[in-house]
Amino acid sequence: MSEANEVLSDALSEPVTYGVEPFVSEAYARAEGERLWPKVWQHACRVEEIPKVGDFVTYDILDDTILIVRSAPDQISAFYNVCAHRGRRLMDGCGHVTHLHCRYHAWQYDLTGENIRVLDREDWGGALEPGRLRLRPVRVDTWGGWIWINMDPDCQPLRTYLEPIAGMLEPFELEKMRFRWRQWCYFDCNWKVAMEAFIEAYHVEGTHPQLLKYADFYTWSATDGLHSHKGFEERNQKLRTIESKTYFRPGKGDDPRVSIATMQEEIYRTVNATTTQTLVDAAARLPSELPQGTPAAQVTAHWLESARRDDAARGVIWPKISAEHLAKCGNSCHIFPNLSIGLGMTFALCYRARPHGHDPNKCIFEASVIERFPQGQEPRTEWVRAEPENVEAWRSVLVQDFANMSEVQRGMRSRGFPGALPNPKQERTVSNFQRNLARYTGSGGLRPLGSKR
Amino acid sequence: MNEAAESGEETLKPMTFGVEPYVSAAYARAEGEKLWPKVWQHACRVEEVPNVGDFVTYDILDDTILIVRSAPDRISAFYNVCAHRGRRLMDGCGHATRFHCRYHAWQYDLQGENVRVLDKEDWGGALPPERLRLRPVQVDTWGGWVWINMDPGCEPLRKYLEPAASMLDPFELEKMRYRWRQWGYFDCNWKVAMEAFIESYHVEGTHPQLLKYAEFYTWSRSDGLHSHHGFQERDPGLQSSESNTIIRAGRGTDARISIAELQEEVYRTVNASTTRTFVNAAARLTAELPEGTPPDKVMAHYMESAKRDDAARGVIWPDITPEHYAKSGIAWNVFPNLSIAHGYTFALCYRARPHGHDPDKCIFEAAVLERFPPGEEPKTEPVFAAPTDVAKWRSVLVQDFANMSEVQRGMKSRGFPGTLPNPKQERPVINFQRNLARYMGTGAPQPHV
Repeated sequence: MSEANEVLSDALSEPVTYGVEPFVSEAYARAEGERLWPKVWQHACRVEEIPKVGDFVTYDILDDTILIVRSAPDQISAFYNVCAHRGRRLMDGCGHVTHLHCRYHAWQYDLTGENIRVLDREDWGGALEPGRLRLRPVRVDTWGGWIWINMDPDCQPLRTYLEPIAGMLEPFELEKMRFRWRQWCYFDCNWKVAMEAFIEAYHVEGTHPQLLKYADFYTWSATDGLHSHKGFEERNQKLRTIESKTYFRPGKGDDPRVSIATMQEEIYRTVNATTTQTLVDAAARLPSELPQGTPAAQVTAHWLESARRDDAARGVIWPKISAEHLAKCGNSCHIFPNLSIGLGMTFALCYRARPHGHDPNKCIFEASVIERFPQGQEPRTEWVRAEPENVEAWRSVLVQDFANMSEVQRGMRSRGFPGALPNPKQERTVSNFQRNLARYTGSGGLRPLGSKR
Repeated sequence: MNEAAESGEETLKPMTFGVEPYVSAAYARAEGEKLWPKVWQHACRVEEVPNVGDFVTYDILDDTILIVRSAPDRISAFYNVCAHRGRRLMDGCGHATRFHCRYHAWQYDLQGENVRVLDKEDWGGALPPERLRLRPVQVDTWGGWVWINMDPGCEPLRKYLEPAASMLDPFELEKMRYRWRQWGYFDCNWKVAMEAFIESYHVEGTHPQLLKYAEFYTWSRSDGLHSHHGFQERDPGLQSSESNTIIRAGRGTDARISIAELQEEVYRTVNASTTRTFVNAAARLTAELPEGTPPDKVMAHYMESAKRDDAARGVIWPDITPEHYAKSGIAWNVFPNLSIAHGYTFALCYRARPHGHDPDKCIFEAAVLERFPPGEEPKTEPVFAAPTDVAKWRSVLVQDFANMSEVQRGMKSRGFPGTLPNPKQERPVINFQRNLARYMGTGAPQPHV
């Protein structure tokens, strides 16, 4: 790791560059398997996926497979998902069981991981140590409605690891949201190429030019230790409101009643996320509810108040979040290493990318939208695989993002690319990600732009 | 590499070489460092970028190169990578007034200079201009192809291509245009594919149906980096200067008929190595000449007819003496991966290159070039065709393709200790391996004891 990686400011206000090794090197990908993935807290699933005792989910990361199970009404346990006998992966996918049964030699474990059956145990003549028989535990905790695991027995507590993002996002009550949809696919790129496409919005002008008619997409970005976050901004001072930094921005145009309504409709239709039906409907009523010439700040206040009232009427009570706090949070956070959360009062759009085997050119990508629903009206969802070109399944905006994935991976492999030039104001999220990665892997990292090494 | 292998004369002695270059993943990776970034490679035809702003991309292993006509009289080449975060800039081919990155909307002009960094002021003047432009790649033209070289210290293209360039110059390849072009994936190393086309010793085994028209004994020569080969009749009585070339009388008691039949068969089953003009002129031989006309007279009449017919439609043959034509043979291997089988008015060209880093996969392309009357050049596109597709490839190439995966398969067996290339007819294969070893520093052919 370069020394420069450590002398740069915490805020990363300096122009920096970083090399391509983390994205293209097989040795680096293997090193991640030793130095990164077994050391970090990773979200494995949502709490809602295992409501009842015996519900389980498996989570695979590189060579490791983790079994997460509700072992008691108030307890979630996690183990290495491997039978103690001859190493068969124990459970596959997700489901419900009373005990964990190996389909090779019928050994069994209870929901707390204790072995409860060794077929013909007497054959060992009492030589089987109980310590060798149980499923090996993995650290587990919950935050934001996710179940997080960590393979490092000495890791810091989840909450400490997640700060300051956890504190900042606490008011959004992410744990009260439920899946609206979830989809996944394979990309022909490194998992970090995929993550980095979603933790900055400097790409909107190049990747989603059709959105420019609704708003400027200038962004700011901030580092938060291991993590980072960013938000929008209007380039034109006169268009700025406190909501300009968030998904609740009035956008640009002469009439904020119209610009809010058209942008909300477009986003709902082409992203199917980062807003809700309630917000879209309330926006559509703005021209009929407010006189022409109402200033943007007042239109936004009226819109959000209407949506809040409409949601309350159907049983969705918005969390209390001040406009100042919302503006400070911006529109999305990156939790190191591989969770991106784009959020609003009643919704979040989440991305995860992780390696697909040891090939640095492949990853598994997942997107999920979570939302607040009236109690009892939460939809039943499943993980749906959809090819990255499938516009019907992913809608047009994400398909535009996906088109960059293999092209970035391809370009970075060329000897004609000496290293990246991340935007020092808008892409600090990307630079900070690379800096923290280098701290774990001990290789790569940032250099000041213009320095030789 | 031993000294014996350095001497051109050694190829007269039986040589052998091992299978590492074909099957080793480490060797395939090393090619990405030691071979491809050091050699001149033809990226496309000049005809593909006629107007300022026309561009083509050429991908070789991890590198992607952008070739653009940057001025009416200039072609430029760059690494096809946006300086910002490394997105491959352009895809395929097309026309652009400037290059626009579809990730963050950075832009470059046709000379590769950056003309737009979105929100450039965010960097506060810290962006070094030399980090912003597209990195140049060496580029030149010969034979109507655009050639690139990633090595800034490489020798000039013309020097690299000699003596092949001077030998083929009279054929005016630069005046030919695509008649058709097709490509496919093969389950073999790119060198297995190339080596199938740079010798004709394989005709008896691979294309037995052609034996009724002619013998396919061949001679072959090494020419420094490159090599070439030609036909020869085993029967000295049938030998003429044309016997060395693709325009040959063939076997049989009546040259009028053997020429006509061979031409018709080749046109139908190869769709290359001759033209409609040749086939028609050959078909008229029995009507135009009396039975018993000696083969050399038949050949002279045939060539004169075809030349006159072409001239009448505006295709003027280049001036090439029969001696020069005979010396140039039927096909050249331009190191590392261009094979050109040439005639007065046509050329059949092959290229194979790695498909990713897997030594067992390659991308294969075939293109037929031909002289056309001005304004009558056909519009063509590269057409994908599976190697078993007889309708698209015709029967002869499908026969060649059937060897590809089988050779790759056989060479991987522990039962195969190394090749036994024919010391007279397969010198292009030996020379190819020898030159490859010079770049790679390993795997030179050794005398076979």
